[in-house]
Amino acid sequence: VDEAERAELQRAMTLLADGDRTAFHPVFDRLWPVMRRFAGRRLASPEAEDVAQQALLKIFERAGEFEPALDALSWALGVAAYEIRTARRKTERRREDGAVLDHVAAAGATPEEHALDEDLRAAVAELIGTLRPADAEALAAVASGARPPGATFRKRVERALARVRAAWRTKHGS
Amino acid sequence: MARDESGLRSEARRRYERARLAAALRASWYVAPLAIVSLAGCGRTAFTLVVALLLLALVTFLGWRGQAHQRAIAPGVLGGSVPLLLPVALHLTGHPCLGGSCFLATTACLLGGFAGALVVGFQWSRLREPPHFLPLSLLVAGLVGALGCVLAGLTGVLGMAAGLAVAAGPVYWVARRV
Repeated sequence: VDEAERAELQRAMTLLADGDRTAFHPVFDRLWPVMRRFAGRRLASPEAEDVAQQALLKIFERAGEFEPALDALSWALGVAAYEIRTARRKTERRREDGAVLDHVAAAGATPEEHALDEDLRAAVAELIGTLRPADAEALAAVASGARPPGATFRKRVERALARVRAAWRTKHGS
Repeated sequence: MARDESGLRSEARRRYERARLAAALRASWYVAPLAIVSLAGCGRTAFTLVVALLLLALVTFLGWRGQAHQRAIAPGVLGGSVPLLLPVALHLTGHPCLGGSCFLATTACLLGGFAGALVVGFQWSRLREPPHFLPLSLLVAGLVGALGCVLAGLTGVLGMAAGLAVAAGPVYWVARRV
């Protein structure tokens, strides 16, 4: 965007913010190619077009809030940058969700079963956090397979499990 | 969601107009306290509600329309607050309007309307706005003033309108020459 175009955009945007509808088409004609280029450099092709359109609509929605003291082009690009960030975040979230579903599918479980399993694991982890350190150590040793021989350790494990059961009944009732 | 360019242009225009209307409606919040002052001071519920709704519709339209229309609102409200507050202040300081003895309140409305038009005219001249600014601003001032002058009944409202109209002529003439 050269200086003359930038000044013209500034003038048209100021008029539009004041409610002058004759400035609508000049602002649209100047901003639409800028938005397309800006989004096109930052996002892949089909998504870039959508985001550029979304950004342009946001700009017109907020045109009444534009302050003439601001630089119109920078303001518009700021709105577009926010839309691009939002689109990227959405894409990342979709990718993460997809990865979780793939993982669940690979493990042979349905998403519901996976969620229940996760809940159960979280509840057990919370419960173990409330035990005395000695009980937690004994259970961790059993879980990792590093079980020392002898009746003393066996008794410690039994006591720890009894406390886990008691704590589970107190918290979850069964 | 991708639209063709003409679809995008129409949607952009729709969003622009909708956002302006919402902003204008939000900016009209002050009509509520003005109506409350009128209800508390004058007790003419039906008249107050009708005038307050008309005022809300007018300032929302002017705010949505923008430019000089929008800038006519503030001087109108300022000018109208003189005939709004004068009779209410008189009433609250022990000059009740009972039966036919509304002469003082009616006079206050007439003078308030006159002063309100001077305020609007001064602002019009100071802001160097186009001619249509003046009647729009006077209309806003008239509706705001009517909320207070209803205390003196229809005579009060007509007195205020007469005050506005009488002052508007000279104000227009003087302001065009300043």
